[in-house]
Amino acid sequence: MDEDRKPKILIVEDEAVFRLIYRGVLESHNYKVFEADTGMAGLELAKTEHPDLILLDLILPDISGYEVLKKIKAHDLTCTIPVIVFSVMGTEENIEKAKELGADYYRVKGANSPSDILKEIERIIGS
Amino acid sequence: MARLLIVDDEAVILIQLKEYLRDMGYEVAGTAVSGEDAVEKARELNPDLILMDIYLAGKKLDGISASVRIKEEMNIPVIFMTAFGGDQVLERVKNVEPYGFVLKPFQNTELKAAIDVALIRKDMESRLRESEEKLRSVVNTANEAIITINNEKQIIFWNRAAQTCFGYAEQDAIGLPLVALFSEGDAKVLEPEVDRIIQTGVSTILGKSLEVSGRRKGDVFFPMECSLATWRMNRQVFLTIIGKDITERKKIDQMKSDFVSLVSHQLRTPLAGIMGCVDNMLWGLSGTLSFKQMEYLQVMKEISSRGYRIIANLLNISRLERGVISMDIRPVDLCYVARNAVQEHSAAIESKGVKLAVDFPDEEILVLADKDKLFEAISNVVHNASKFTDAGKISVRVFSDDSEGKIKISDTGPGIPPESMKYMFTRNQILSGNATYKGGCGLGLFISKQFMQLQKGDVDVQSRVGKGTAFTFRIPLAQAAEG
Repeated sequence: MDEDRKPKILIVEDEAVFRLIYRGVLESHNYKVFEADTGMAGLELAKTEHPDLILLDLILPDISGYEVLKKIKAHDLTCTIPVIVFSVMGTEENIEKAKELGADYYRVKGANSPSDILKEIERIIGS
Repeated sequence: MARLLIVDDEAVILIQLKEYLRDMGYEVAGTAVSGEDAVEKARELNPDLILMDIYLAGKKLDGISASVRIKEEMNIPVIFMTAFGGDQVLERVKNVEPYGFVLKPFQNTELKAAIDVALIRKDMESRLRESEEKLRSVVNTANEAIITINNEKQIIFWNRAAQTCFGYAEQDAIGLPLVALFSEGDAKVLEPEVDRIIQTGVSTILGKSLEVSGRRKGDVFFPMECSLATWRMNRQVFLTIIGKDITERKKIDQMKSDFVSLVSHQLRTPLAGIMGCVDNMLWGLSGTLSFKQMEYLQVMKEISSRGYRIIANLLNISRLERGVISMDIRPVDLCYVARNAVQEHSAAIESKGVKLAVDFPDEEILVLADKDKLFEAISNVVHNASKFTDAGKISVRVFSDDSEGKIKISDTGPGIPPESMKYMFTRNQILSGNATYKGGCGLGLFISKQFMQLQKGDVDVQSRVGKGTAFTFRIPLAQAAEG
C-alpha cells in the first residue's frame, strides 16, 4: 500500500517493550506507526501528524495519560481523534476516569492480547 | 469489735451509756459533750458509728448540724438519740440520712438493735461502694468508649475513653442525644434501629460490629467501630454502645492496599510485556515457527497468564477488603457471558483430552449483573475445573427458573474432601492445602463468591471424592426484578 495512504496510529507509551509489540502488530497490518515515549512528545505528534487513532498509556514519565487525554480532547486539531487508553491498571476507577475524560475505549494490558487491540482499532477506523 | 463515739451534753448519761455499751460488747472509743467536740473527736478517732444527742446545750452546733459536717467530711454513720421527736426535728434529721433514730428513754435492747442494724447497713454500703468502684475502674480503664443511653436516646453514662474519643467531658456528655455522636448519614441509619431496640428489644444491628463515622466535639469526623447491646432494669430499656476510633487502623489498611496495588501494577507490566511478545511471535510476526518453538511459546504464554491471573486476584482481594469494588449492574445475557468464560478455557481443557460439553438454551437469559465481574466469577470456576480434571468431562449448563438464571459447571475431577469444603470459598482455602499444588493462590473461589454476592447472586458447591465436583451459580433475572 502507498505509504501516504496507510492509516496512522500514534502510540504514546514509555515502556519500550509495548511500543515494540504494538508497532509489530500494526505494521504487519499496514498501519503507519508513530511513537512517543512521553506525554508532551505524544501531544506534539498528535498535532503535527494528525493520526487516525491514538493508543495511550496512563503512566508516563512527564504528565499522566489522563492529562494527555484531556489536552487531546480539548485541542481543536486533535479533539476528533479516537483514543484507546491501554494500561496495566484495570480498576473501575481508572476506566471510569478515562471514559469521563473522553477516552473512546479502554483496554487492559495483559488481559487483552495485541490481536484484541488490533480488532478494536480495525473496528474504530473501519479499515 | 465496733468502735463507737458517744455525744451527749449530760455527763451522767455519758457515763451510763458507756457502761451499757461495754456490757453489750462494743468498744467506746470516746465521748463528746458538744457539736464542735463531736466533729473533732470523730476526726481524731474515726469511729465506726456515732451515737448523737440532738440537743447539745449552750453551744452553737447541735447534734444535727454536727452530723451534717461529719457526714460531709468523714462519712461516718450516725444514730440520733433524743427525747424530743417533734415534726420539725424529724424533718431536719431526715436530711442528714441518719442510720438510726432512738427516742429517749429507751431500753438497752432497743439501742443494741439500732446499733447492730446501723453497723450491718454500713458494712453493706461499703461493700456496694467497693464493687461499684471496681466496676468503675474497669469501665474507666477500658480503651473502648462505653456509653449508655436511656429510652429517650439521651446519654446517661459516659466513661473516660468516651471522653477521649468524642472530646466531651462527662458532665457535658450526660444528657446529650445519641445522634450527636454520629455523622448525619449514620445517625439517620442508626436512629430508627435504636428506636426499634427501645420499643421491641430486637434489631439486626444488635451484637454486630458496625463501622460508622463518629462525630467529635467541634464536628470533626472519624472512622469508628462500634457494637450495641441492650439491657433492662426496672422495666426500663437501656442501650450500651461500645466503640473505638479506628483512624489508625484505617490508615494502615490503606497503606497495605496501596502497597498491594502498587506492587501488582509493577508486576503486571513486565508480565504483560512478555505475554504481548509471545502473542506476536505465536501470531507469526517474527516469521515461521518450528513446532518446538511453538510449544515453548505456548508454555510461556500459559505460565505468564497464570502469573497475571494471580496478580489480578491479589488486587481483587485487596479491593474487596477495602470495599471499593463497584458493580455496574445492568441486564446482560447470561449465556453470552458464560459462553465467553468457557471459551477462555476451552483450548486448555481439550488439550488435556477432557471432553467439554456445553448445554446452552437458544434464547438469551437476561440477568441483572456486572458483565465483567460475572465473567470473572464464572471464569475462575471453569479455570479450576480445567486445572483439576485430567480425564472424563466438564459440563456447563445454563438454565433459569422463575426468578434466577443459573449455571451449573460439573467436572469428573478428584472431588473435594469434606474437611476442605468449609474452606472452599474463604480466603483460607490455601490452608486446606489442596489449592496450591496445581499452581494457584487459592483465591479464585473466594473472589467468585464475593463477586456473586455483590451482584445479589451466589455460587455453591457440591462434591464427592472420586466422583467430581459441581458448582452452581445463581443470579437474579432482569425480568423478575422488574416485576
